[in-house]
Amino acid sequence: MFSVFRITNGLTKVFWLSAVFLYGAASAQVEIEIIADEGAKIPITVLPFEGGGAEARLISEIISADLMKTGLFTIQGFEKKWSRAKLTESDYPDWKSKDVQNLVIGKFMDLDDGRIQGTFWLYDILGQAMSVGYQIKDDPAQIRRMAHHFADLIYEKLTGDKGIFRTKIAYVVRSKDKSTLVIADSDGHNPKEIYSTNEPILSPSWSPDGGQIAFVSFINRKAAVHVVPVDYERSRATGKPRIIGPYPGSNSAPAWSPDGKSLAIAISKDGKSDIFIVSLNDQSKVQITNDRFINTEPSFSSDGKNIVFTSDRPGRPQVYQTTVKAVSEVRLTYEGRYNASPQFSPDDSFVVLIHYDERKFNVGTLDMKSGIVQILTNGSLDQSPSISPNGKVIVYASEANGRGILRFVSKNGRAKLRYVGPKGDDIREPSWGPFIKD
Amino acid sequence: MTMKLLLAAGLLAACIGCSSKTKMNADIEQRDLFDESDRRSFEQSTELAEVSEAASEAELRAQQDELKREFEREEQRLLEERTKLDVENAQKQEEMQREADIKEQLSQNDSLLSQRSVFYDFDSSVIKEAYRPIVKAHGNFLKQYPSVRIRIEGNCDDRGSREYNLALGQSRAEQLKQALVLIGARQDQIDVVSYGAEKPIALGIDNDSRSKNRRSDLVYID
Repeated sequence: MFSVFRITNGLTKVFWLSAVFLYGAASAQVEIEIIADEGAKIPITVLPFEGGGAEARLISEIISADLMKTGLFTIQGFEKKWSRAKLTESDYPDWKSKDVQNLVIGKFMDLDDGRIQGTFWLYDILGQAMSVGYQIKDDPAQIRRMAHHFADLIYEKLTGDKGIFRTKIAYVVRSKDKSTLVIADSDGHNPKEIYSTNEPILSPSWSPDGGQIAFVSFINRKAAVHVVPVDYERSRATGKPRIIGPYPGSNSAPAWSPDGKSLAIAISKDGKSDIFIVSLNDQSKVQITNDRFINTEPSFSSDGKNIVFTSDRPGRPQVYQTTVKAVSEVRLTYEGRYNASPQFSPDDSFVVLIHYDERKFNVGTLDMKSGIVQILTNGSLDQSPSISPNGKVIVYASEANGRGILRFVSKNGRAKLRYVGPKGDDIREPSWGPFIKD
Repeated sequence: MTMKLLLAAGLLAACIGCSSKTKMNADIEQRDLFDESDRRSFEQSTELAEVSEAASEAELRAQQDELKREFEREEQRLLEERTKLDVENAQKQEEMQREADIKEQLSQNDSLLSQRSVFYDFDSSVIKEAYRPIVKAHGNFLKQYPSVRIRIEGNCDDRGSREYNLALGQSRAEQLKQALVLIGARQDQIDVVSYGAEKPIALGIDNDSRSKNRRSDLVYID
């Protein structure tokens, strides 16, 4: 059992990450392939953690992989004989002579109380200073999370943006007669089944606190909005998900308000579809759009005051924006036959969407200032984009050899990753979870 | 029904018993004729008896007439019941025939009614000219048989947004429903659902498979 990180754009390094995980009853392989990796990079050297053993090695491998996958870093090679001791002032010239610019060293150990302890330091060799030092004690089962935490701190220090390596992704695995809602680490590890049904599942959406997922499935042949807690064991014990409504017609496209108190949903009835905001407290609803067209796929701005959505008012689906109070609507997209599935970026500066130009469906971004749509992908049927909580990466559904896979693309389009699920799985409908609180 | 027959029989029996009792009283009065000692009182009583006999005979006739009428009325009622039953049976038979007709019409392989799907262009819910005769046949059928219920299931191909497709499937199904209602089907005969792109019948990603998935199905509900 292993994960594969492969750079396929002519570079030579191959990383083999050893990791064992279980998917359902059967174990399986997660393959993540870096398929594009362009532009200027931050060089970094990550030495194996002191303390020996597989765990110490695993931590530095996870840190390297996390950073490399962003497309923003060059992971530099090292020699085995290099010192892994904490640096003193006199060590900097030596490291500089090895062409090292950013250096990560660390220590790993088992504690007497059964926990594990990891410590790492990030050094700025040119600036001759330690930029980050951090120690974590945790349950041995949380070793990957510990490594992702270190990578988050390194990423934040060197790029100025918050890291997303500890975040989770929800997605749907479709087999012949079954759909399963799964949450996994954003690197595909630790998949856990949250909910399973014979009916299709679509449009999972995380609550802002990461505690619940709203999604759409079918009850008595009609689409209905479901809400389940993310806590795997608990959701299993409590059984049935909460149903919002159901209101007559198709109920779908749930999106959480930023305060987590309500859901924007689309209700299709009498040949039209409108967006409503439903209070989770008393299920009272406020109608946002009201015309004879299709209005669906709402997404809130970070302050909850605006909603972007898809509407076929021009005869074809295009992206619109409306205010929540005193409804005033504007059309945002004009280019292309079909623009849909809009989602606000965390800072509201752009909207991610799918764009169709008569040949293929691709993921793009719409800049809210300039109105320019930039296409980031080149598949034929890219769907369901979802943006990372730091706004830097977009995960979306795609296809390879007749089955659904997830792909990742950086916001600038320079880094692309492919996530192929355990063998035979048809994966779709990814949704990126919020930042994990420390 | 049976209760009423029993009641009628009982009334008749009671009536026969009643008239024999009156005859017995008359016999006793005959024996009194041979009592010499009280001739006067006999004469008197005969007079009285004659009067009372005449009265009771009229009463008896009236009673018998009433019973006869009652019996006739009961007979009439029974006849009506039987007629009603016959009508009901005929109706039931007609209903069965109707159901058989519905079944037969729906099971014919080569009829317009046997075609239960309407297909669409990409991102369109417009019913194309080619499917108008099928829609018309189903609309007229629903109009003719108001007890028949159907469900329209809207579907889309896999391209584009899943959520938009869910709404598009609903729109396809609703527009088909309105077309059937215009022809004469009743609103409450038709339920409408959308599966969007979630329940494809053709799994290929070629044009042929996709065109099969862009469809509304008319499902007759038993």
